Amino acid sequence: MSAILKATNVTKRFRHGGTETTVLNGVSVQVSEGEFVAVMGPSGSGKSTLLYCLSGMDTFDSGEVNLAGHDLGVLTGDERATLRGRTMGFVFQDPNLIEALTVLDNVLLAASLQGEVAPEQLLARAHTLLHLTGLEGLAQRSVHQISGGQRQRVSLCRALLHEPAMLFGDEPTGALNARSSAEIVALLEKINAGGTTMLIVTHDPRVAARASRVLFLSDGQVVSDQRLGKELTPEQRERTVADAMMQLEI
Amino acid sequence: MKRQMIRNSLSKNRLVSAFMAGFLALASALFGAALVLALGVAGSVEGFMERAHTPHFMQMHQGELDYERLNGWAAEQPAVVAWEAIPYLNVENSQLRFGASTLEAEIQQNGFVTQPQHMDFLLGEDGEPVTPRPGEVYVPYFYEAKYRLGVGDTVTVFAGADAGSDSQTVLTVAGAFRDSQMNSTLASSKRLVVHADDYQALAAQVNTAPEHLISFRLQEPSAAAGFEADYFAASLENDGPSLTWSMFRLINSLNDGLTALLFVLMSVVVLLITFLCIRYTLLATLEEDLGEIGVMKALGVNDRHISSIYLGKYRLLLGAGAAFGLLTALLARPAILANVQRSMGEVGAPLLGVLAALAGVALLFGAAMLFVRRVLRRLRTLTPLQALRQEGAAVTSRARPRPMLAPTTGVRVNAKLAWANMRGAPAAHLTILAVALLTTLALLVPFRFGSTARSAEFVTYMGIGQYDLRIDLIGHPDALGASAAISTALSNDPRVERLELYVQEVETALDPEGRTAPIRVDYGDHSAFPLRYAAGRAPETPTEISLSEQNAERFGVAVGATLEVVSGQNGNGTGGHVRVAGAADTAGLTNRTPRATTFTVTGIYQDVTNGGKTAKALPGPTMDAAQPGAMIAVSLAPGADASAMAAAVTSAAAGAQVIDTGTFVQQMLGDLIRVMDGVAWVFAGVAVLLAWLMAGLGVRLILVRERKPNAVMQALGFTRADLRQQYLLRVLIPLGIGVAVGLVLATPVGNLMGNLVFATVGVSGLSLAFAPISTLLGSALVITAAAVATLTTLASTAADSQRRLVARLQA
Repeated sequence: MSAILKATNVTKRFRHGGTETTVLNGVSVQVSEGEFVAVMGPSGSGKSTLLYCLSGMDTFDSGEVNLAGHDLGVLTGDERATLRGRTMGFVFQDPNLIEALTVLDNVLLAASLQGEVAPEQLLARAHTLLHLTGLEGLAQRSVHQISGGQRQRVSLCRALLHEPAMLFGDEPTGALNARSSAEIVALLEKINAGGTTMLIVTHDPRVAARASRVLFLSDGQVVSDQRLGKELTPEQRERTVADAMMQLEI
Repeated sequence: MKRQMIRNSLSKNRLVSAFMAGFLALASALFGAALVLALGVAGSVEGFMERAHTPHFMQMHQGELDYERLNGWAAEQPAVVAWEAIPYLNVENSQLRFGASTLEAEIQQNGFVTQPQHMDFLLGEDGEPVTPRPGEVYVPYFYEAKYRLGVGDTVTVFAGADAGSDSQTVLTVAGAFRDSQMNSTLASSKRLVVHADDYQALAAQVNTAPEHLISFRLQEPSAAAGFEADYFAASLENDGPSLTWSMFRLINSLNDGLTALLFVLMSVVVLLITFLCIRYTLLATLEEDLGEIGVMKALGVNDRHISSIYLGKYRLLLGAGAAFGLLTALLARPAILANVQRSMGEVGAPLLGVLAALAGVALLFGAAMLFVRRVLRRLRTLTPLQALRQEGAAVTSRARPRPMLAPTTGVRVNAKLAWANMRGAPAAHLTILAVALLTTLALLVPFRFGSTARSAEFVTYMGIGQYDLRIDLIGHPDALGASAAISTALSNDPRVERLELYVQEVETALDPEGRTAPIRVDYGDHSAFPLRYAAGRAPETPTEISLSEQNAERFGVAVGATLEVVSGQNGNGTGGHVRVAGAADTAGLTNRTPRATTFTVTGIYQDVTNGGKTAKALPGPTMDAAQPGAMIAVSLAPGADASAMAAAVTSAAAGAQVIDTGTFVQQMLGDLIRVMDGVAWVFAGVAVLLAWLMAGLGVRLILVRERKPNAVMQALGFTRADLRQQYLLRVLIPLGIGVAVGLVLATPVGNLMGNLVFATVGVSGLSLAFAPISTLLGSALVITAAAVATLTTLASTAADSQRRLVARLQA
């Protein structure tokens, strides 16, 4: 499988007042098409920062990131925004839905701007996604009228509407209860099974257990790259992840 | 801790806080200035008129007068404290020169006087009556400013109507004086003060009919109206208009009073805008602070204490703004009162003006704080849970979203999102709309005042028809004959489009107290040069009459009422004799039989001519005066030069007073128009500044509130250009609607305000003239200022928008 994302020696520092902190220290990552990669690590390990640098939402101080054939280091902020809109989907811990729009319009939001797909086709896809995620009857509701889990599913539909090359997630189950988390995790697995490449930052071993690879970060560096073979059962996967976490004292 | 929270709140949005304070500072400065000026004028006028011993009643009379009879009558009137017949030597403007300047274009009528002895003192800079020495002349401050006359300059008087004649008197300007009767341009005459010897010499040189200002000081100024009726009933000299103390006071205080009124109106507009800003920013702040408010409520902190934090913040902000505005108004006192000082000498009641400004600004501050309290009442209905859940709709109302993105792609998505956000958060956008509406009104309406006063139709609100020349033959021994000759000559002149002859007679009628009072009636075809009526219409039959407002008030009648007018009657109600101007003893007395005619009052109009007491009727049986006056109204063909025509008629028709009405009104209203134009430009500047500030403030507040949603949109692929497009639409759409509504409302609101403003010159029922250039330019300026402010605000925040994208996402 070809690499859709290739990051080489990425370093990111934060400066606050007179203090400089290195959050990512020469991180190299490669994600192949169709892979589901989970990123884990303790708080402050740089996992969210890595996600944002790899997706072009944040800049980095040195290194190289190539996503879907684009060198993110040479693009301007607006060029990266356009690239994100066309090739990437995002699911955040907070669904970040737009309150002024209905559920359906929130799903249509990002893809509508790009104008690459006919509106009727987008609409049909949106309804399909809402159906797949069990939200069909909520299309015209306001976001205030649905639960946290439902909002996260809307966020997922929004991320997938334009059939992105890659889906990024930052703690997508972080704010959900166990049941909603399980629903989201199941959906992610289903989406990946359909061929969508995913990179998800998570502290939840149940989410990581669904991935085909788990990257462990500590102090801004990749300390372990654990592959989870298809032959493993869900319990074996969870145990593998848990063991790795214990070993790395995460 | 509370102080710390207030400090934190203030430092969070420094620019917004500065704007809030700035708006109230502006409102306070304007309101304080208005009060300083209004109190300054009110205090100064009374003091000035007392120092000058302004007459309580003054009757102008052209011709000789029986001094002994007048003296005897005055001595019998218990209301009279003193009286004086002040000689006034009329001089044609063509006979005068100020320095090197001729006065041919001057519409003020000029005359020489000596310093009165008992009243109507003409005061110098030191507040004392001026006393010119032989060869000296004192000029009114009006001419000192207009012709830049200084001590040592000359005033030359030529004999006859030819300014180039060899016989001339040269007087040296010794200084300027304040005239409590004729300071203002609204008074159409001006006096020049000379020594008694020079007066006699000039009288012999100029050789015009004598005129007197028969002046009375009474026990009570309020008795003037009744005294006037008694004066007329005694058939005393009355060949000219009469004026009272209240009219003099109005004329003296008009321009500055008008400026004060305009300042008050503007401060109200700015205060309304301040209230809108308070509401908008406070709601935005409450929404931002929902989490903190929720925690406080959950911990048991009561609503009053929570509100006190915000009250403390606004008390500080608005207090600083009010204090700054007040200080500005007080520091600007010398400039504000400069004209009052110049016109009336001492500025009366200075402390009162300062105290009034302080009280007025305190009132504004109090009103603003009350408004803050009102907005904060929303906190009471917010539960701790709602606040903790950041349910912003609990604080600001949010409309239920409607589907709109399907089917839409591409650039139109930005337009639809802009609309969705406008629907979702109407308060912010309605604020922009309301401010745009108010600033449009503030910008357009004042310009219309000046345009209206300058328009050709304006004269019709003031008792003058829309004609170009007015030829008066009042006091002329053969007014009818002379006017007929002039009319014949003018009818053959190709420059004359139309002319109409009006015969003027003084009849009598009874006032509500049963006293006989004079009523000057213009008989003629009033449809030729129609007036604008405050009520009703012009007379159409010989038994209909229309009255000036002053006459309507004097006789206690309204439209539809009847008025018995008696012609051929003298002042004491008897028939038989009427004293004719210029006649001595029995010579010239004419036998007249009093004849009463009942007229129906059909209309009431404003009149600034002849002391404002006139009436209009059609020629009929009541016309029988032995020596009526006459007036010819002339409208000229397009392109004809009114000034040249006026000069030609003046030199051809001896004894006729010719006025180019266009120039007359412009000069009479000159000061007023200058004040209105000046205020209009100030309003325009403030309006554009407000549009710029509000757009910038509005966008900045929206950006602060929508930090996270904007970050989400950028994360999803929206570029800065997309966001800029949305914000421009969100500002320009409500702005455009506000401007459009303002354009529509400018007429009715302008008419309302215009009637308020022009009522000070006695004009009512006014329709403001449309000012196309200022309308177009003004609207464009408001929109441009707002667009520029939006773009610059977006540009200033764009730089770090990318850098802080992740931080905003994680907030």
